[in-house]
Amino acid sequence: MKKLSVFLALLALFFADLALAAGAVVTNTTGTVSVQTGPASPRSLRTGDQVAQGDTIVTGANSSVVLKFDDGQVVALTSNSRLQVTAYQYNPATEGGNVLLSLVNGGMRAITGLIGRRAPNQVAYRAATATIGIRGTDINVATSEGTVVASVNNGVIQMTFEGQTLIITAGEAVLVRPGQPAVKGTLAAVSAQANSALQQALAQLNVPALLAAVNNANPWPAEPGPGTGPAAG
Amino acid sequence: MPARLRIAAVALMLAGLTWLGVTAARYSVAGSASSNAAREIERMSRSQGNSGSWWTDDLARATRDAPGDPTAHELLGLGLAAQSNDPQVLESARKELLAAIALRPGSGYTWANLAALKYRLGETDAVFEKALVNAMRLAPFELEVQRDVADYGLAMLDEVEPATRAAIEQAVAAGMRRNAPEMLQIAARRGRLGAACRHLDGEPRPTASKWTQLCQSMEATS
Repeated sequence: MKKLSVFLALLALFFADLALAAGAVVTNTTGTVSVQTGPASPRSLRTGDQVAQGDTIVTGANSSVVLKFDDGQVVALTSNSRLQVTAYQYNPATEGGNVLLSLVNGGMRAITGLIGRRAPNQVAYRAATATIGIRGTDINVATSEGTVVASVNNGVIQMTFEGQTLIITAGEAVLVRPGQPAVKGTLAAVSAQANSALQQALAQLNVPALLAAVNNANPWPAEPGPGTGPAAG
Repeated sequence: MPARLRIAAVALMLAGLTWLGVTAARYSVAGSASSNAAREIERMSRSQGNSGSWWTDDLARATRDAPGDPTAHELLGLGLAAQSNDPQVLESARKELLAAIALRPGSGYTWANLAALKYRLGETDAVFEKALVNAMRLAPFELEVQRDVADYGLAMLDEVEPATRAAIEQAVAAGMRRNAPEMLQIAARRGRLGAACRHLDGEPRPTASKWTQLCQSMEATS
């Protein structure tokens, strides 16, 4: 009987280890948030749940979620967002790995973790058909119907869209639309030219409760700079 | 006793002994498959690697050869769940865990494993709550059970029935006595640090000062 208990304890340990092998943990949720893993049906995502490579996170109306990845990267999503963790691999021993997050719809704030700090070229974000590379970054991204707005709170991003590459520095923002030239300027100026869905997503990134949740999850203190903290939407 | 009757009795005894021998052999093979699978699972849990499906194949054979062996069913359920996110495979995993519970309803570990699988499937229904309650009722002193019930229970604390809530709180309290830092970590991850902090006073062993400070600061701000 004793042998059986040890055996079953081993099983429980195994299951617990599997659960902890994920890439990110949910640190805050409001409203309705779900996750879909592979072909499985979507399930509710709650604070403390794990998210891994291949998972797709979906937020409902009046909802948000904050994720903290193993390397310290923090990602927040606003309502009606859809984000796929296309790739996430992290080796704590070398503090290396790679990140590719694909924002299908909605708004996202992403603060780089150790992977991006050590090897920025190993981190990329996709929004619609735009690809964003980073250099020690805290950014906001919103996308809707193929249009993308990206703003930089800290660091620099390199955005590629329809064969064009744009460099955006802290305090700047850019709006890209299929078949049209990019619009670059302050977030307020760029946001004014975006559609209402994008404006709403950008504004939601500034909601105090979400800002507080992001700050709680962020392991690094805010670095001083012209664009520190998300600009008003 | 007539000779024919004696011959029939001997034949019956021989048939019975043969059946017993064959059954014992099948259970022995099934037990061996379970042991091998357990060793492989242990190896996997240490290396985080996936060793393929030979041991799930062995366990599937073991459950066929010894359908009354709950360990083989439970191991197969866990193995299937660990190897795939395919809904059909997870459904098979659930069936194996339910079969294990039907054969050994007194195992708190099996109920805890069922709760974990159902949570993963997003099935936080009455059966999920029953699994949490039964796990804690049957194995209240087992650390792994306390850990599972606290983890999945704290995730659902506002949504469960009073009896389930009581079981979750019991798991947190018991876990705080056994391994306070781990339970505090689980509670913090679930955004429920207060549920664990309230048991910190009774902690007989020194607890990491980080947690003591966190609990004190929580108390100060509440």
